[in-house]
Amino acid sequence: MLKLSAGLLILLIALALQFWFASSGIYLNLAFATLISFAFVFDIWELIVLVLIAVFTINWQPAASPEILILALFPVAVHLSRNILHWQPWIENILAVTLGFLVIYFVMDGRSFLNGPYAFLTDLGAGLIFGSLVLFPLYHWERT
Amino acid sequence: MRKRNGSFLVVCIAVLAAIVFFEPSYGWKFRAFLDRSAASPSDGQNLAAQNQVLMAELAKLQSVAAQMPDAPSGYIRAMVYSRYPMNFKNEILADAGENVGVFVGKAVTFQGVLVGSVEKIFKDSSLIQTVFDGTFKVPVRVGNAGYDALFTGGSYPKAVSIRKNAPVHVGDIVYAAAPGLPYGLPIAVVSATSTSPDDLFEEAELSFAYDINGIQTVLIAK
Repeated sequence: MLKLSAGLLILLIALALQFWFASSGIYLNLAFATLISFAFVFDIWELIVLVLIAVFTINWQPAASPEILILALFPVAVHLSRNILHWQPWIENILAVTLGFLVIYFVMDGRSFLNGPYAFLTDLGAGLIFGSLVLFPLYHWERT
Repeated sequence: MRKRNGSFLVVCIAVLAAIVFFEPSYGWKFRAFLDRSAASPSDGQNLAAQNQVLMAELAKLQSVAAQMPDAPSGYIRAMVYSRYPMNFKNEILADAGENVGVFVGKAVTFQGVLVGSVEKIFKDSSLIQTVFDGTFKVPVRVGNAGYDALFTGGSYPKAVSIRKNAPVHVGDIVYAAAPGLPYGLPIAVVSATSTSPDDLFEEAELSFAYDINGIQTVLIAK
């Protein structure tokens, strides 16, 4: 339960940072990267709780949307398939975050992604850094 | 102990899922608490917006004085609930919906300046596509002479398809000239001009009198 509380705190920090950057015109999907990294360290029920808290906070309209569905379902899919590769978790985390960002960008706005990839690369870079910073302490916590 | 934790998590999931599906407004309030940086617009922004309104008024009167329709009278004031959190769209959710007579496609203004149009309506809220959304496009006119152009939204909105060699200058007002929107509603002012990549038209970069992230209330046309 202590680990879940730490996860909740990290998620809230990611959300606050995401909103703070967005209000300055810099859009980073830090919460999405955090949830993907969480998929490697939490069990499925804990992950669902954290995903629902993220959806509760991020959803901006009283209806479902493709981006919210991807935000919710992709981390769960990563959790369910995390034992397929048997690589180092940090490599799997980098792959999963990259794949997640590619999926959400292509589904939501494939054309502008191809026309101007800088926004995507900035977002992905920030997501990879934040996701790795989240993964290492929580993964070691799980091992000790 | 493990079983008790499992039961606690299942209860958490059920409560969270119920709130997400049935009472999303709690999420918007929580988000507003986290997003403390959304400042209210300053007096400077208000004055700049009012200045644009006056410039648009002047442009309208000079170019189409004889054909000018009456200004729209009815607006619905609405508070901004939440904003689109990613970089694929630019939308805001306002707290006026079907219950107060909002309709899809209606103009949304801030201090008399067009900030977007109603995209989707819900029972007591409406989703507004702002002029900074990449898919927002609306016919406009530029300057006192009223040169036709197409406003294209995005992170850096532009007025494109302006007749080549039209004397468009920095500081000229850009105002709406689209069916469904009140004629002459100011949108922005020209900040730079250039020729289109195909060399057939002129384009204008635009500057705005407000910060879209600082807007707390809007007016929705009835």
